[in-house]
Amino acid sequence: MKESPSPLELTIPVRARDFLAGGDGAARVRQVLQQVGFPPALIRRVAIATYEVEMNMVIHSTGGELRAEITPEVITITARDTGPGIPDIDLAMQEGYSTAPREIQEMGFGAGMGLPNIRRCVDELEIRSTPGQGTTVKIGIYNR
Amino acid sequence: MQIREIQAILAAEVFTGADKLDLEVEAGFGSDLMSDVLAFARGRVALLTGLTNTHVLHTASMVDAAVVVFVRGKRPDQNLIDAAAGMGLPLLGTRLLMYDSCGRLFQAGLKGCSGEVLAERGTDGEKPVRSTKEKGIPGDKKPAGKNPVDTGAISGEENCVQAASGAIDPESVASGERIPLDKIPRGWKSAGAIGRERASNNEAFPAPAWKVNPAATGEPA
Ligand SMILES: Nc1ncnc2c1ncn2[C@@H]1O[C@H](COP(=O)(O)OP(=O)(O)OP(=O)(O)O)[C@@H](O)[C@H]1O
Ligand SMILES: [Mg+2]
Repeated sequence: MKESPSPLELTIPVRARDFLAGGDGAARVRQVLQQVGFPPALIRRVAIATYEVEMNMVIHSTGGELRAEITPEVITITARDTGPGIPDIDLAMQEGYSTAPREIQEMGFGAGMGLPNIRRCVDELEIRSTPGQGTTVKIGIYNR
Repeated sequence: MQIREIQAILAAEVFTGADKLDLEVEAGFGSDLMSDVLAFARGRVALLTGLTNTHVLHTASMVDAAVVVFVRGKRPDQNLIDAAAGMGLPLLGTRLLMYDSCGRLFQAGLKGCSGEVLAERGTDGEKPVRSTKEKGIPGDKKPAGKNPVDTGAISGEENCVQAASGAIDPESVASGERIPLDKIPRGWKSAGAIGRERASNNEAFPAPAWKVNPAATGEPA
């Protein structure tokens, strides 16, 4: 078997309520995937899922870090924030459920479609959240 | 339909991308909720919206939209126009309202993105939207309580990328519980820290050291 090249890793800080830089992480991940030649349909799924987790951190959390680990076989995205956590993950996963305040809705967020979108795009999804401590969303998408 | 035709039908102003009006658009999508765009846009769409912020540009970029049309006379500011120009994304603006804009384009033959929603299958690698229908109208279901999160896996569907069973550990989603963070679910491949890229906000990123498909990137292996 051919030896795999070493994984590419990106670590991107995400600041709460920074709507100017918010989305740059996903854009950067997308750009790297294009540079190394992943198929467009896969890039699209990764880009959408990454953008949704990143903007969730910008909107709903006190900030955190986005990490991407890219190998030819699997793309892993880990979004880890420092709070406030999700009290009921089942509820948050439902389409249409959103706690986004009005001024955020006016910016085009708050459809309550982010987490359901992520689930639709990815092969693996794990959400861990402890109220008061933060949320970690881990996503895996296979190249096959 | 070409962007040029869209411009003519909507009597639209071109904010940027005047050199790209010959590009083909496959379908139209009108929304002010960007997550809906991310969820349901298929193909090279013309995105019609009344929002003029960076969220729109990012969303357009993530779904590879061909053009963004601002409706009801909304004007993007210069920063947004410059950003779109940098991305090679044409921006148009019309004074028509959303419904009228979409209606005129549809009448002229530009289809929407409902086809696959109705046909209940995805051809774009994303999972079919069928789980949406099964769930009914958002909000008409009572909260699932502490049950495991439904991973949306649907069996026996073509073109369906399924969530691996056990992708979500039911225990780990029961909120409030402390789960050791080093517990790696099965199916994950671990990778070393070689080839590490680090980024603070304005730091330049090095080019990736390897290629999956050199032909696709137009570079030698
Ligand atoms: N990182 C997070 N920290 C805290 N709460 C979160 C986080 N991510 C999501 N949530 C909660 O889960 C809810 C649903 O998230 P989801 O992404 O599906 O919708 P949304 O962000 O509200 O709207 P949309 O994504 O459609 O713009 C959010 O409204 C919020 O209450
Ligand atoms: Mg969201």
